[in-house]
Amino acid sequence: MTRFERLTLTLLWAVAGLAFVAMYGPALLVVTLSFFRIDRQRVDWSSFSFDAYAGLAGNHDIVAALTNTLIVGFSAVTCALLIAVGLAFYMHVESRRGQRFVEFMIFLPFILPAIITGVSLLIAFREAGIERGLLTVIVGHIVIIIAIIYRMVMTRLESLERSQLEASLDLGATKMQTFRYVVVPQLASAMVTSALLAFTLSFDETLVTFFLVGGEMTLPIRLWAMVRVGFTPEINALVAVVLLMTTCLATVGALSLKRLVRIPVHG
Amino acid sequence: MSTVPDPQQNQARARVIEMVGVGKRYGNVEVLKPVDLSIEDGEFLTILGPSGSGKTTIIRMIGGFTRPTSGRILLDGRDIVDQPIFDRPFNTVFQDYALFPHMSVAKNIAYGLMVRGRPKAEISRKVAEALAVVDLSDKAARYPADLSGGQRQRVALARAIICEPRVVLLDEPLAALDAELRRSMRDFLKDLQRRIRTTFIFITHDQDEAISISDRIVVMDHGRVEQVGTPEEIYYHPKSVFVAKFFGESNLLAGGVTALAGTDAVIESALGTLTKPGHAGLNAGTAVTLAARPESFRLVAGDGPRAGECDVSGTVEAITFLGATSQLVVGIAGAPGETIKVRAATKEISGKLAVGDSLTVAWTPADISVLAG
Ligand SMILES: Nc1ncnc2c1ncn2[C@@H]1O[C@H](COP(=O)(O)OP(=O)(O)O)[C@@H](O)[C@H]1O
Ligand SMILES: [Mg+2]
Repeated sequence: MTRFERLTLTLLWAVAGLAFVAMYGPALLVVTLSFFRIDRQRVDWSSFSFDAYAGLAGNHDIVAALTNTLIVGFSAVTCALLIAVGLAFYMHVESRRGQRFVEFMIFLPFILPAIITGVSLLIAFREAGIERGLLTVIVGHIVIIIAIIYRMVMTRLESLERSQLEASLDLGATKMQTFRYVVVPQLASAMVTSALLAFTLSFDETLVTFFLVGGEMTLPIRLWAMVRVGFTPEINALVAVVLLMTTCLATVGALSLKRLVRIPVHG
Repeated sequence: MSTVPDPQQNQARARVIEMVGVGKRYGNVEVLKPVDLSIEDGEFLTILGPSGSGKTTIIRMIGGFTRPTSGRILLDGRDIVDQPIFDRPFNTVFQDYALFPHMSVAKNIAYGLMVRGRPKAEISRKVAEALAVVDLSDKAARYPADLSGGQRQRVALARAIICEPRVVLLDEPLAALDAELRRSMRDFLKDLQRRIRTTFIFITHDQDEAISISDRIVVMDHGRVEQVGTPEEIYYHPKSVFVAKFFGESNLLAGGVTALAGTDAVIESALGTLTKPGHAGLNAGTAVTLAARPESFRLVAGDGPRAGECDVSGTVEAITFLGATSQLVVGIAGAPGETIKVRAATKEISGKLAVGDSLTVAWTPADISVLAG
């Protein structure tokens, strides 16, 4: 190794390290700060406690916001999963000519700036005379996450040999039976992974939610409202909780993926 | 060209499937020229042809996966073109087997009965039977990924026969296996077909396989049925140059029709003058090709040609030892450059015949096929 190469390598390591610190530093800082009291922008290092967390649990607004977020996440993911899987199967089996067009339509809200999606949905709901509330937020989230689920499910479907579907029909199964006994079991891993990913997206979705939310807030909106008033240890604690939950979700996702992928694959 | 099957055979066996003018085109490309074909109950019918000749297209249309662009497919006399796949009493063994990777061997085999809602007891009894038939009773709980190619193939077979279909469709099921396994699977298939007395429509591009396994063979080329017949008919009486070339070795000699006498054609070639009955379609002056197998020629010893035989004299140009038989290349006297391949028992010629020797070769006109072009 020449001196120049060694220098380059050192530099690369340094940059990588910096990037790492930039990525995880603030998060760690926030978690650390959540255990201390802050007085006029100064951290009181002698005040280690779980007070902020206790305060969080006792804060009805925050608990309600968390509940709402979970309701929105579960409902949106479930609906999006049903729609996306059904649509993907239909598109794949029937080889519909409009497949490209449908995919484009599905992906549009995902690619468009969230502001556009949010405002258009808002206008649409207003025209339809639908009150803003959790329901409108759920619809907004479905629109955003359906693309992810559709794509992941479709990728798995496309790798499933067509002859398997044909074999099922050939053996006397209807299309519904084929879907249930041949397709769904083999899509399970893609469904779980995409659902977890979609749930994570829904969990911290802020912009579109902002336009569609009514009186009942979701966690990110609540957080947003709190930050505007000022930083408190509670905010840090909330961020720490969100961080923990997201990490857990990701871990569960990775584990379930590993377990499901063990299904013996043809060939 | 399509050939009407031997009427005697049709009386002996009922027809299961009748294809009437069934053709397929994709856009402007005609991948299957209209075919007329009767499939008889309980026969082992092989569709043979090079890759891309339309074999898969035929069985996919029978199975219901592809819709013909013309013609009718009759099952017991009823048109089934509009019948959905799952309503047709046929089952398919796919080229890639198409086993369900997330189901055990037993579940795979049970699938057809399960989706039809058969009682559990019946399913497990029939699955056990089918497993025994394909000799996989000890593999019931395994998954397809854990099986060898030959075993997967047998699972696919068991899965296809468990619903007792009228016809089993097999799309090159042996193509993925190695030579030795192919041979034993071939015998197994034939034996299975006899035991369960079900019509098999089997696709292959391997002539030897087709000849050894089939009751009848459909030879295809470029989306066209070249000939339909028993292995012997196809081997000894090819109806086109393609068929003659496709099966084993054959002698192809250029000839010309010199005269017609009733339905007899008088044909001139390097072999001399030949009178063939039953060639009313030919005209004087038509160029034809004569085809004959090397074993259709006989070396004439001292006794000379027998009654009804023709003969020609020539010179031995080469001898190839093939084991029990040897192949001679014989240059025909009086026809420079024209040779015929002649098969003879090695015992008969060894020590008696050498390159350069003169000899006489005899044949029966019935063993020579007259082909257009
Ligand atoms: N879906 C399709 N669209 C266009 N051409 C096709 C399609 N399926 C098959 N073909 C063409 O039809 C011809 C016959 O195909 P196939 O029946 O699969 O032949 P084989 O089984 O004898 O190899 C091939 O030239 C193939 O390219
Ligand atoms: Mg094929």
